Amino acid sequence: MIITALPDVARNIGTPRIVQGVAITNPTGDPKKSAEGEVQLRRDLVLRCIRAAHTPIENPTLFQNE
Amino acid sequence: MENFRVVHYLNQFFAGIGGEDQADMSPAIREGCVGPGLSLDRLWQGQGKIVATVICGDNYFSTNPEATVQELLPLIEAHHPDVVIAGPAFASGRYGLSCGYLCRAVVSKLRIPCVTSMEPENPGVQEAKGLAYIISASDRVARMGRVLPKVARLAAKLACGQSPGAAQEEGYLPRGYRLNTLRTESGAVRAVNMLLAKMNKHSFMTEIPLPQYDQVTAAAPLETGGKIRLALVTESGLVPEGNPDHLESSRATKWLKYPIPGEKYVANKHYSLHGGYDVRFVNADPNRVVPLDAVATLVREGVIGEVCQHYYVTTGMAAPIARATKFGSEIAHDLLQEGVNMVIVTST
Repeated sequence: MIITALPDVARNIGTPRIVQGVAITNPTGDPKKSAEGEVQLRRDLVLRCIRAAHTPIENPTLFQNE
Repeated sequence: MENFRVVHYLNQFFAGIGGEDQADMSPAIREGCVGPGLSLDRLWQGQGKIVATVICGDNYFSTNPEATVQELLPLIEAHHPDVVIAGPAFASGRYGLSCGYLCRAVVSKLRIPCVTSMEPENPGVQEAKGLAYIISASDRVARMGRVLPKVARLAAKLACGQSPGAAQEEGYLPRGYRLNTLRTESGAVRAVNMLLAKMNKHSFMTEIPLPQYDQVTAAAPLETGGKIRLALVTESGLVPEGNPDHLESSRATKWLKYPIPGEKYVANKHYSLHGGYDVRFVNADPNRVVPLDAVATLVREGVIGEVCQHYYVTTGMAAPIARATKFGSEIAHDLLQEGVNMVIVTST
């Protein structure tokens, strides 16, 4: 699936599984967090991607935080 | 033609405030015209005038469009424009999106006509389509001189309540409205003429162009408890130091496959050459754009079965859709050969 800070663009072109990225310049990071905070953030994003991969879907779907 | 008032929207770059370093700039307003607005004012020869220019950073707008529009609408309304102009944005995706969002809101909430301009493949086109008039532009900013006269002419007509001509005549992208016109030949005759032209390899103009984006069927979900074999793909332009295969910063002609550097990316060993976003944060820590460290940890913990020993990269800036589609197919083919069953694509 895609991790992107612009989920509307992904949805408009029909990308099936979409995960919200943090920002355009750092979709899987956050310079405002500590190093440990960023590592945890990335872990959560990848786990969300794994959840999305196990979810049946029909239309473009944005997977949010649990 | 009577005198008319215009408000112009520009991003931080065309307003002369800064480049990517100012892309997070919040909305601001200036009296009169700024940057390309000066040329627009001159083109109207005193009939029309930009009374104010509203400005916002591309990142600020495109990541929070609803909230940003709420901030901009009152600034625009206060100046009572007869028409609003946004851009031109050319190939810039975020700027085009911002122009698109703004035009949609101005037309639907303030009921003021809008003219913008961008490349037909710009994602901003989908936002404004059917509501604003989008003058079709090529990718290059150097074409500003060709685009502005069309923007000026169309804006003047709209501001004065005149009906614009057809899309081809005025230079805007078709808005999805069909107006009845009278033709001398019947549909059957026109259709057969088109077919004859096509069979003889002559050019012809379709009367019904089909939409561009394909329907993508979602992959079936993975089985619970099955082994995940994951690959990482990115359009962020992240390459090994030295860019050994000369990946381009924009309009990439290739995609590449490089070994993953073990358990995480390290600054300086990999860097991004993408021309479309501020790469400082990614270059300080490339895991911020390809989450390899998290994936490696999850492999060690047994959550992910294995990770593909190569990552795939191209540069997704001003990439023609047809070419990007081809890259996607080729990468997908390669991924299947590698026995991958799950892919994370990261996008900037």
